[in-house]
Amino acid sequence: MLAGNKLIFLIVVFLTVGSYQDAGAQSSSATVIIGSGSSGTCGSLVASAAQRIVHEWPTGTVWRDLKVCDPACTDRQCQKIGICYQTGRGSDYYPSLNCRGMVCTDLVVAAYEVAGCPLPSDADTRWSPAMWGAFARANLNLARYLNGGSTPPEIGDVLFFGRSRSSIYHVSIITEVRDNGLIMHQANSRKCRFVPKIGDNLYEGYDANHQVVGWGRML
Amino acid sequence: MIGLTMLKNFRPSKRAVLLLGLVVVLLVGLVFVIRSRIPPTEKAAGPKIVKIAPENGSENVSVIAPIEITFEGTVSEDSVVCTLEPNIEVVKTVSADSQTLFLSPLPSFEPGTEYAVTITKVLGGSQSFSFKTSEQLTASEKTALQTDYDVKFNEAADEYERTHPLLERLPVEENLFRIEYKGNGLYEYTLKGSDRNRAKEAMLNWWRENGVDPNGLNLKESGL
Repeated sequence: MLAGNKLIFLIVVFLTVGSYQDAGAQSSSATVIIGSGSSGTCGSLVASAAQRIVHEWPTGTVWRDLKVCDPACTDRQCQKIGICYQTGRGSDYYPSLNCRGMVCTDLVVAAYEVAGCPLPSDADTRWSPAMWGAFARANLNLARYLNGGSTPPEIGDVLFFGRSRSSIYHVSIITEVRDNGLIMHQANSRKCRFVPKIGDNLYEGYDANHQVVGWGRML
Repeated sequence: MIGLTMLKNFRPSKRAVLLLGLVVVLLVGLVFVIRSRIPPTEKAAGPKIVKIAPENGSENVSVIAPIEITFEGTVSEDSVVCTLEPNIEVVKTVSADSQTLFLSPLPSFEPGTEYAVTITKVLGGSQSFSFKTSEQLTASEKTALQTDYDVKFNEAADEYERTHPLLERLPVEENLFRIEYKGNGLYEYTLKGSDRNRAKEAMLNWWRENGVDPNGLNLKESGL
């Protein structure tokens, strides 16, 4: 399955002519459509990987030195969300709970890795502001686009949430683009979430600190 | 003696008022003297603070490390009032032995910032100290903060889904109405046909049939 997808991807790459540019604030960008609405070169593979991780990776699955929530972890948040977390201070501050879990950026990094399209090291981070920064950096084969700009999101894009461009708090993977909104998968929950569309390439966030700031794409 | 002579010069009614005032003043003074001579008990002043971390004047303090106040006796979250300058929200928790109070910043202190802290015990007494946070976040601090952010995101998304029902189903187009989500909690509807009352009832019933009380929604007719 993966090999087949890669073959299709290689063929498409050869047939595709176009260029991306960093979208920046509301600037226009040439959009290359590869496959059926997938983002960049790896979009559908990344989206599929994110769905598998969130829905199918069993409890205790280890990726790098992290693991999907262990039932032995009785923490309130661990019961609430699928991928292991600690309340308040993170696993490094609660070693006795034996529960070193994923954060949101880990799911993004893992999805790209599992899809066979690993993110460059600058974007391979456990800190969403750093990932947001990496997607704007030149020469990394990455691009980022602002919510409400001229470039629509595509599946496999990294969706960034926060208060503003300088206050990024959360990331997820876009796994479906619908006429009325986006479906995203994230490390926080076993269920996917819906992000409503309220205008041209404009999506509504969940509150003031969790606005849809933009989306990042591997070119 | 002179006072008594002067007192005799007053009329009886004024004399009584003056005597009463003197008695009150003497009583207040007596209470004040007695209180000042009795040492405050531990109970009256609350348990004694024996250690505060970070120490006064500390630098390079972690932006996520809680302030720890250790007492000689047991305390609860309500035993002290804490003020920080610059102001920041903190969450109070107590250690298992109830002798240490943790004040955790929400979500973190600002990097490279000097904080002045005043701990005021509810039963009396206060202590002030200051510390300065580190300029840069360490990798583990970032991970811990990211965890906090992720948890808060989930809470915000849960609340949004609760207060913005059926968004995935919209826009919906039926024979008698159309409903569309316009953002910021506004659901806009259009009624079709000549019988507006029937159309509106059908639109409201659509919500009810999907388990949502339309009275709790910001519903607005298009064009009005």
